[in-house]
Amino acid sequence: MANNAFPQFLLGAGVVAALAAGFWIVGGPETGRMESRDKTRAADLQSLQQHVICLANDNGQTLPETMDENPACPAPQLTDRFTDRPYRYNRLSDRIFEVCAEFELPDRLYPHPHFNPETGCRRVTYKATRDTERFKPMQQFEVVPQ
Amino acid sequence: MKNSDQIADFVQEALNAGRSRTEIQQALHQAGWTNAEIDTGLKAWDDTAFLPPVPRPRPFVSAREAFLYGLIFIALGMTAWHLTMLGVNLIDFAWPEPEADHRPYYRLSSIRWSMAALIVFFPLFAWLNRRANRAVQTDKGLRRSVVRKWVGYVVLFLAALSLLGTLVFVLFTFLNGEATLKFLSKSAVVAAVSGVIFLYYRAQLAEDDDGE
Repeated sequence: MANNAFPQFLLGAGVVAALAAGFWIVGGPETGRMESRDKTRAADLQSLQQHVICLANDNGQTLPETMDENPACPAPQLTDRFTDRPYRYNRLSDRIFEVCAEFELPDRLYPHPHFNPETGCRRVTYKATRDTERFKPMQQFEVVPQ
Repeated sequence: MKNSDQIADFVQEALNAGRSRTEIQQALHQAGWTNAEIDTGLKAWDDTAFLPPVPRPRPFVSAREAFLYGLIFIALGMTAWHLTMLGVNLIDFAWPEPEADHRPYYRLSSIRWSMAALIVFFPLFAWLNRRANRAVQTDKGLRRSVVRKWVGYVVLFLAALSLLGTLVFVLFTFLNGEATLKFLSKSAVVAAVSGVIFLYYRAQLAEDDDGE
């Protein structure tokens, strides 16, 4: 048994140390719940972004002052459903806007180029002319027989 | 029929016919059997004048042993795999690559999965292994379990493969000039887990052989 005892102890110590490090670095169930709430908030911000674009399209292709709903654009979730605090909308310029939420662990969210984990904001550039550009008539060529 | 069975049957008949061990040895030698094979055949019967020849205990296989050692094998495998994965993922999570803009969010569920697997399988392994070793301590005959021996050697084989593979990979990475401290620490995790298991099973198999 003597030869066996030391490797067996090492294996047990390794498992205990790895589990402790896991709880310490990754966190327990409460951290998991924070991550899950943050995921819901991130999804809400995405719906809000669509909502703002819808309002802008309906508003003569200019960004609205507020996120208030209108008949063409019914409002999605406008408040954080866990804290009841409203999500924020910042109109930064005629073309750029932000929708923001207060995240608990923003660093652990799936990275997205529009999302800034430090501010908790999703910054979007509204492309007003996108549709007219896409659907403008094609150039027509006349085919002349030689 | 295995060679050892064939030779043991012959030895039994010869002993019954009153031939001496030396005579049997010479006859077998002449027939082309090697000394090791002859030795195994003779060892199957106890060296006394008692007739009919008294059999020596032989290795045995039992379904109960297969169940116990199968479970030990799976529990050890899950422990080793998830301990390694947990170590590697924790290293990646704690020291993310600075140039990679992807945050290690995807490691989180992997880490939690490994933690859950370890919480289930490591105690199971420790408990079953303790049980098996205690049973062997009380009943030395259990050392002759073929399943115990095979599981021991298969674990030893896999641990050796893992160690050799790690060594080759470390050398390859080193020659490629990519052996960072982080890479070396991840390799150390793999080597430590397989090394500890290798040492443990080598000691166990050596001890079992002593008992025979």
